[in-house]
Order: sequence, then C-alpha cells, then structure tokens
Amino acid sequence: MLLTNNIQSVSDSLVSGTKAAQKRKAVLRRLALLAGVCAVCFLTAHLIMLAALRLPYEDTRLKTDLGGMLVAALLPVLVLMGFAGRRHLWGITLCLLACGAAALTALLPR
Amino acid sequence: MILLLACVLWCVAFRCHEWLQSRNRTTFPMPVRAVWLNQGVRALAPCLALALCLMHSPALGVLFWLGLGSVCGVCTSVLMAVLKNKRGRAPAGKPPL
Amino acid sequence: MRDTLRVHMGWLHSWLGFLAGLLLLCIFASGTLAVFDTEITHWMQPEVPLHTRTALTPAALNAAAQAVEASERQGFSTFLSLPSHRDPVLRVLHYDGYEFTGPALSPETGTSFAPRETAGGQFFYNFHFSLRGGDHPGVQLVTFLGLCLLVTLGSGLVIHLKALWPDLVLLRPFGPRPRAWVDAHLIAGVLFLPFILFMAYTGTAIHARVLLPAQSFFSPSPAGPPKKSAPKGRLLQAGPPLPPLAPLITQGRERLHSPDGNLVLFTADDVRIFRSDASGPFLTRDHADFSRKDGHFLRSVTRSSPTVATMQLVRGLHYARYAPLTLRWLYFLSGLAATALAGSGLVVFLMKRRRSSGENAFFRLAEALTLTVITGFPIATLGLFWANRCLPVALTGRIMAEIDLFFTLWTLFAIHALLLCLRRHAAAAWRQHLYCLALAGGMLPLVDLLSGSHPWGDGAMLFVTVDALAFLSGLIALFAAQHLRRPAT
Repeated sequence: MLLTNNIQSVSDSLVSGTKAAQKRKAVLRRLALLAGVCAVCFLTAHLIMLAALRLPYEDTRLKTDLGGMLVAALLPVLVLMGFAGRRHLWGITLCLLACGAAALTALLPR
Repeated sequence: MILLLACVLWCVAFRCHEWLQSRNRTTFPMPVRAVWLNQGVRALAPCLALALCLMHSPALGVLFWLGLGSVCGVCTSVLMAVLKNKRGRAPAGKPPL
Repeated sequence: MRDTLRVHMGWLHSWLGFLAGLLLLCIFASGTLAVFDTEITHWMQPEVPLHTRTALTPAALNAAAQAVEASERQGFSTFLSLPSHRDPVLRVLHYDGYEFTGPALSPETGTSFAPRETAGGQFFYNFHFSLRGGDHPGVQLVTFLGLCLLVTLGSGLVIHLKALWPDLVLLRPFGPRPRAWVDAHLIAGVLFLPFILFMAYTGTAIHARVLLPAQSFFSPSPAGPPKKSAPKGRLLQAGPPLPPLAPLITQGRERLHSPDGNLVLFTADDVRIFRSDASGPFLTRDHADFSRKDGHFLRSVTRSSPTVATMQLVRGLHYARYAPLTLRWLYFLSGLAATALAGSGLVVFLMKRRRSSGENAFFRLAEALTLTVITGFPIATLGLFWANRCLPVALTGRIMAEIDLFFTLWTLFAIHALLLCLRRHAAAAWRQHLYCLALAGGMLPLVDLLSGSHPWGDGAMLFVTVDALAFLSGLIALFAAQHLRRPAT
C-alpha cells in the first residue's frame, strides 16, 4: 500500500514537473517568436521611413510624417500577423516579405 | 436638444440589442412580433441618431455620434445590470479566472 | 493545454497589456486632463478674470509688444496668444523647456493681471506626450507605448471577437468580483474602441518620426559642421523694435479668415500671425507674414494639398483644440473610459495570477506598481491642485515647486505601496491609498473655498466644476475603500 502511494506521488510530481517544463518551453518559444517578429517589423518600419524620404514632396517633415502614418498603421498589424501565424511560420514569412519589399523600395536606385 | 434626442435613440438601440440576446429571454420574455420590432429599432435608431448629429454639426457630426454612442452604451449597460439585479435573476456567470 | 490562437493572443494581450499598461494609464489620465488644459490653468490662476471681453485695443497690443521685446532681450523666444472665447486674455508666452509660461494682460488696457506662477494644465499636456522626458527618451517612449497599445488592442479584439456582438453591453457588477472586473474591462474597451483606436493611432502617427528617424542605420550621413541654432525656446539674437501690431493683426485676421485666438510669433525679420487652432478640425498652421522693420505684408503661407490636409486632420483630431465644449466633454469622458480600461486590465491581470503566484516577489512588485499608477497618480495629481492653493502666491520658482511636490508625492506613495506589498499587506495598501485619495479629493473644494483666491460670482462655474469633479473622485475612492473591506463573493 505504502509502495503504491509512493509510486503514485512520484508519478504525480513527474507529471507536474513535465507540465511545468512544457509550459516554460511554450513561453520561451513564444518569447523567441515575438522577439524575432518585433525585430523584423522594426526593421521594416525603419525602411519605410527611409522610403518615405523618396516621396515627391519638398518638405522633409511632411515626408516623414506620411512615413509615420504608414508605420503606425502597418507595424501593429505586422506584429500581430507575425505572432499569430505559427503554422509553417507563415506569419514571420509574411513579415520577412514585407521587410524585403520595404528594403527594395528604400535601397534600390530610383 | 438634438444631442439629447440622439442620446435617447442610442440608449433605445442598446436596450433593444440587450433584450434580443438569448440569455435575457428568461428575464425579459417577448413574443415573436416584439423580436421583429426590437430588431427594427436596433437597426434604425443609430441611423436616426447619426442623421440628428449631422444636422447638429455637419462637420463634427460623426464624432458626436460615436462619442454619444459610447457614453450611452455604458449608461445602458449599468441600467440593465441594475434592472436585472432588481428582478433577482442576474446571470452571474461563472468566474472567468 | 492546447496552444490555440486565442490562448496565444491572450498571452500577448495580458503581458504586453500589463507592462505597457502601467505607463499607459498615466498617459491616458494626463491626456484626459489635458483636454481641459486651458480651464485647469484658469483654475490655477484665479487672479485672471474670465469675464474679460476679447476685443483687443492698440494700447494692449503696445504693452504686449513691450513685454515681448523685454523678454527677447533676456534671450527667450517669445510669442503672443491673442484672446479667444476659451481664453479671454492676452498672453505673452515663452517656452521654458517644458511649459509655455508668461504674463497675462488685459486685452483692453494691457495691464498685467499678475497671476501666480503655476504649472497649470500645460503640465498634464506635457506629461501626456513626453512623460516630462523631452524628445529623447520621453516622446520616444510614449510613441513606443502607443505601438504597444495598438498591438494590445488588436490582440484583445482577436480574443473577444466571438462575444463582441452578443456581449456588447453586458455588465455584471453584482456577480463575482473577477467577473465584474472583466466585464468592466470589456465594456470600456469595446464601447470606446473607436475613440481609443483613433487616439492611439493618431498619437503614434504624429510622433512616429521621433521613434524611427528617417536616417539610415546602415550608412549614417557624413557629419557636417554642426548648424548654429538656439536651444528650444531660446533666441540667438533679438530682432529690431516691433512695429505697431494692431494693423498687422487686423490685416492678418482678414487674410486668414480667423477672427480670434491667433498666435503671433516673432523672428529677427518677420512678424508671423497664425490662424487659430480653434478654427476647425484641420490644424493648419497657415500664417500671414509681415516685415518686422516696417510692418509691410510679406507673404501668406497656406497649404491645402490633400496630403498636407490629411496630416493636419490627424493632428487636429488628436489635439481637439477645435472642439466645442460638448465635444470636449465627450473627449474627456472617453479619456476616462480609456483610463478605466487600462486600470481594470491591470487589476484583472493581478487577480488572475494571485492564487498561483501571490507569494512570488515579482507578483508583489507588480501589485505595488499597479497601486502606484492606479491610486498614486491621482493622489499626486490632486496634490498638484492642493499645492497651487497652499503654496505662497509670491514664492519664487513656484512652477518647479508645484511639480516637485507632484513627483515627491508620487514617489512617497510608490514607496509606501512597495513596502506594504512586499510585506504581504497589499489589501491594507489599497485601502490606505484609497482613503488618502478620498481625503485629497473630498477636501479640495474646502481648500479652494478657504484660500479665498477668487470671488464666487462671475465665472465661478469653472471653479465649481473642477471642485465638484475632485469631490466626486474622492467619493468614488471612498466607496471603493469601503467596498474593499467586504469579503469577495
């Protein structure tokens, strides 16, 4: 009886330990995904601001303001999509695509 | 005065919306015809409120409409909660946490 | 537990919402007060009569011009704020690094009302967009928090999407405590979503260029010789004596179709008369320029391309300087709802984790921080109002004394919260803070009355309203403190 109880308690602690480890692993994975997505999104936003400087207006402040409007709308959506799309990592792929598009617009000669 | 009327319309729309939810059918039972009426009022009252707000101020009407809608929504929800509590059948719901 | 989209987004919503929410609550609260910044300044400067007629006389403008020249000789970049319906006095202002300060003159005679020096409503305006930290890191941090808010709103929408329509006005304040808090959080978030979303977006868009400057990280522009420019609010050199301002202002107002409340700026060569911000929802910054030497008209700058107009509208809607009184009250109530949203979110976060992590030191730290912002910030705010009435009127450096008192009070309450929470007396800390808040709010009308700083006749409505709001906040705090004494159902 005592042995059975001991085995039961050991197996319970093992299960809870495994559960905690799984939870920690899931949180770490989420954190890594979020950090990656944020890095790509901030790079995209920076490239959008650079691309905004190419707009055909004289006033630099107007160009950066327009870039800011686009960034404020796009960046949260990209972060959410990047974080939400986990199957086959389609979210972060989308962020990378947006980043690539912004890089091409900002860095290629006109 | 116009804004007050818009407030009333918003409150009526929210009240109809809340009464139409299935969880309230036991607290506020209503016949089928009343359901149709409530649905109609819920759809029309906000439109009428928007028209009134635009009449009050063509440039800022939409802002008035949205602001009044939010405030009236809160007022209606508090009023409905008190009403349900008075009837003693408030759906407490299970604790979410 | 299956890692569904809802669970995944819930994790993002709760953690990002909590971490950003601690500061966002203060930003919302100060923004809410900043809606009535001019009125708060009036309350804090009771020496300025509010029934003054707004018609300007040449004598008043000459007195203002002399004040401007005297201020410029001290090295301040000074400007005039002409009387308007909302602020019926002529103000000679300069920027002191945080606030616009300066004397208030009668628009009829030009005599100074000699108002007490005060941080006024400007303090809350400055705190709202920079947390008094300047462009770097203040505005950058607030803009970053704006982005966090947008992400939190998006994730919150995903979590609540299914119940959004049926539970639109569902509130169960008489249910279990956690249920009531979640409902309050949802009601504030869903019903005021259009306002919160558009304020978060416009606020972030306005300052996005400060967070992400349009300068390449990869190939920094070669550093040329530094441009010689004066620090913000200062002048490199004063200009020649000013021409008579009255004809210039009449002409400028006609050209800009802006009958009152204009700003008049002075450079070494020009006198620039700006269109009033209250003219409409577009914050245009259109101006008519005159020569500073002889006052002849130079140019009129009006920009109205669709791109410029969009940006003007974004600014105008966020700053709400155009708004009539009713709409300003709606802005104020919506701001209160946003503050309630942040506050209830913080409380729900703690409630959810109290059972599992209540003994954790980080949890207790989180609770102390929550207390610091939910109750400490309003207490410090009311402390600023008290300081305005209690500090001697002729005190030198009065503005900084008020502000120092605000931050000292806030720090003291933060330390108090930290000490009690770390010693596992969080409930007592909540109650004590709430009683202090009740006392500070409830007694403010009495302090105002006893100070005898203004007559209770003409223009008393403003004083009554501010005092009543403070009293109401005290009453709510008292109710909450009493409620906390009861055991949770």
